[in-house]
Amino acid sequence: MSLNKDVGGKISIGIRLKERLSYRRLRNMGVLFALIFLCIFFTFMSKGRFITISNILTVARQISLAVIVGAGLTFVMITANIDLAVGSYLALSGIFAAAVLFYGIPWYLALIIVMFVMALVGILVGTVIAKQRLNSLIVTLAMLSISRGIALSYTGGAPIFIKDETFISLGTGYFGPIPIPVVIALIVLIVCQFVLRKTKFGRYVYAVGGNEEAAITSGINVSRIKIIVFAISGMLTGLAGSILAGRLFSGNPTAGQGFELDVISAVVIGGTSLFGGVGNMWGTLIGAITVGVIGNGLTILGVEYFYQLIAKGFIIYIAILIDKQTREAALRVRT
Amino acid sequence: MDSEIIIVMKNISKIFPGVKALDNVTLQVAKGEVHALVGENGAGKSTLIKILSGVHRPDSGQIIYKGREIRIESPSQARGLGISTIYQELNLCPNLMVAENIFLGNEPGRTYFSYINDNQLNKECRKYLDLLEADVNPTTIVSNLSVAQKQVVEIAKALSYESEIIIMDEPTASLTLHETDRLFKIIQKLKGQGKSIIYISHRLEEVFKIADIITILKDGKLMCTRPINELSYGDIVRMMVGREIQDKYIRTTKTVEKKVECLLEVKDFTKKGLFKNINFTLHAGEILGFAGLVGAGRTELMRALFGLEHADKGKIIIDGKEIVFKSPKEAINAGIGMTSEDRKRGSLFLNFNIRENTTISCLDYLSKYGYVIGIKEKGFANNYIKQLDIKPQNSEVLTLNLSGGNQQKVAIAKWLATGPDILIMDEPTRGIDVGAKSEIYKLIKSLAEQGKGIILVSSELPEILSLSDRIIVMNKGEIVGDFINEEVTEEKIMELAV
Repeated sequence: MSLNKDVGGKISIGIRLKERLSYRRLRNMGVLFALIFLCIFFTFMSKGRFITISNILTVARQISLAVIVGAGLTFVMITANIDLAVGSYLALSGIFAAAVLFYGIPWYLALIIVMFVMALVGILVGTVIAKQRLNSLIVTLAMLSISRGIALSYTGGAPIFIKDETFISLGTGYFGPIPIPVVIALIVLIVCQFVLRKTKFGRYVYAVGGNEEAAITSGINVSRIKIIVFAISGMLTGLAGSILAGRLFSGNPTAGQGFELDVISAVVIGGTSLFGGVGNMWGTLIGAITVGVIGNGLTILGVEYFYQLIAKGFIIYIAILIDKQTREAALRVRT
Repeated sequence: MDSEIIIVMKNISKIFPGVKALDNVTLQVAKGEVHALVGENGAGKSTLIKILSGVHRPDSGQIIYKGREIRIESPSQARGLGISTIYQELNLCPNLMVAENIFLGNEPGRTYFSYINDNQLNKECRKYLDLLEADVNPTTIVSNLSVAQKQVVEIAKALSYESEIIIMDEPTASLTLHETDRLFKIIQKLKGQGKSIIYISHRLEEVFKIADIITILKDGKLMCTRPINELSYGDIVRMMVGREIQDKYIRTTKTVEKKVECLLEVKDFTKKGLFKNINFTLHAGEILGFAGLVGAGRTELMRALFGLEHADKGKIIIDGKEIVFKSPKEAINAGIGMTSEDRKRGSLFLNFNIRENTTISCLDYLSKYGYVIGIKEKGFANNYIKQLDIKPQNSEVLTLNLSGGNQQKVAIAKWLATGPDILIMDEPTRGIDVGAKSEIYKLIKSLAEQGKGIILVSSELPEILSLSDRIIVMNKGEIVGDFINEEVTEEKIMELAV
């Protein structure tokens, strides 16, 4: 089956790559190829407008929010849970940030407070799901409505304006040629991938999603892991919501509607299974880029938003289909 | 050989709502000893070891480990003490690598966010795998391993916890003979290192091969604890069951009648990668046994015959007509029934009661204009409960709460209810104790006597040899032998199967 003895480090790395080069990796490559194809397609159809530096940076900025939230959602989904409320959280955190800033709190403190409070929200949600053993789909669906309702009722439906320049630059500023949101997204991605792959916590996240029973008997505090992943998801959504508020110069109660769809698509296209146990940050990145490219490309070609929605829906369907085929094929490969 | 006693479970009692699972049971295990724990389903074996592995707490009694009285409060505490359990439903994360599984929950590092050095972990893991002479790689993803390999990983995990006591619950249920031999070699090795093994199994032949001491439980009470060589097979069975049982069904040689109706003829059945050129016939009143190793393709063949999968080519001839079933419904209409290898997943609805399970495939017959006629349904179910001697006799009991043997009877009843001429039974006595097994055998025999044709797929050779009129041996998807029972021996079958 595979080599027993390690004949030098190189071969062991080779074997390790081979083992990790499971169907999932191959599938991710498939998505990568699809992405490249899409880019070529849009470049051709838009007569080059798609591939300009300015447009690439635009796409990068557009998807940065999905990447940040997607990173948090990846943690959640690997444990075989889901968070449908991220769109509402986006609005909620933006409003909260604006409200805090209104009272003259410095930008960095405001950011920290928002992220902290959203992490608490995540802890609350995670606790309900873990301890009361409720389905995360239903609980976060409820939160979707509740959060949106809180945002709308607090603001009476109108945006709260932000005057703090530094805070605004979170969403609109540049670090050299690169938009700040993109920089933040990359940092978040790298840190999250490290935590996921290289720490005990990350390992436990995979374990809980792979076989919760086995995780329990291995002495892992499964409830705690679930609570933490929702806390992380909440916190990162707080960060994204703040960036968005900066960009919009306001906390907006209607922000983020439909956002959860984009983020979940990105995560699933990126190789995270809806059933948990598999997934990683780079996949989420590729998924987010794919979703972003499709939206951006269609916009450049002048396709109306409604048709874009239909296209996005199809993409999710195909992503789920591929997910299922991948899992079944992996089972057959085993024989 | 006077060996140091490592653990004593003294006067343990445990009551669950409605049933006294353990009544004053004492279990004593010595170092380097293989201690078999046997008893019918419901005798208390799993409760006893669950207490030892920290899942349950005893209502009374003490546990004395290495001379000190202890309380085992949780599975992780048990692990920490050096007591590991390897369950039948293996407790591994299929999405993680072997090394990751072995060290799960036991990685170095104080905080959640401590860095994991995979290279180091893999090296450590290699150490334990080598100890067991396992052909498993630390970096293989567990879902890609065979059941036997997964078991070895579980044993390695137990070793990594420096376990002194390893409890194995029905370890050979999904293993081939070859893999079982490997496991026994490993157990001998563990013995040599002074580890104690508590071995639970329904397969008494194995117990005789591997165990030093045997403890027999019946209805939650301790029947006896004796060195294995002081007891005979019959002694053990009698103490387990309390009555004389014929486990090895004595075959009465049948005079083969010349003109027996051919119920089924299979021609050139082929499915790429699973089975090839399958040709056989089945007659009325005949039990046709399919022997072979796990993975030989028998279950896949049966699933294709029944319409659950589609074969690439081949045909089935029933009643002179050529058919290929595209769905189980078609197979059922043609008079075929099939009980699955895994009755929990395949044929039974555990959330249904006996009545609902028995009648599920016959609701057309029991309803009018879509409305199920309650009285008719109940009478129908009770009829089968009586016929098959299902206990408890209440048709409203949830199947989930029945013993393995009775669950299997319900599965059989469900298929009998469809009035089949042909019944395919895939591993019908898997996980069933000696007493219930013999009842299932009687049932199969009587079905054959009624003129039905039975196809019996089993990995237990004694079972195949004692029940079948004809035996077909499969190896890697092809038929390598087709014999009348009298012509063939266990050795010959094994030879062909490997």
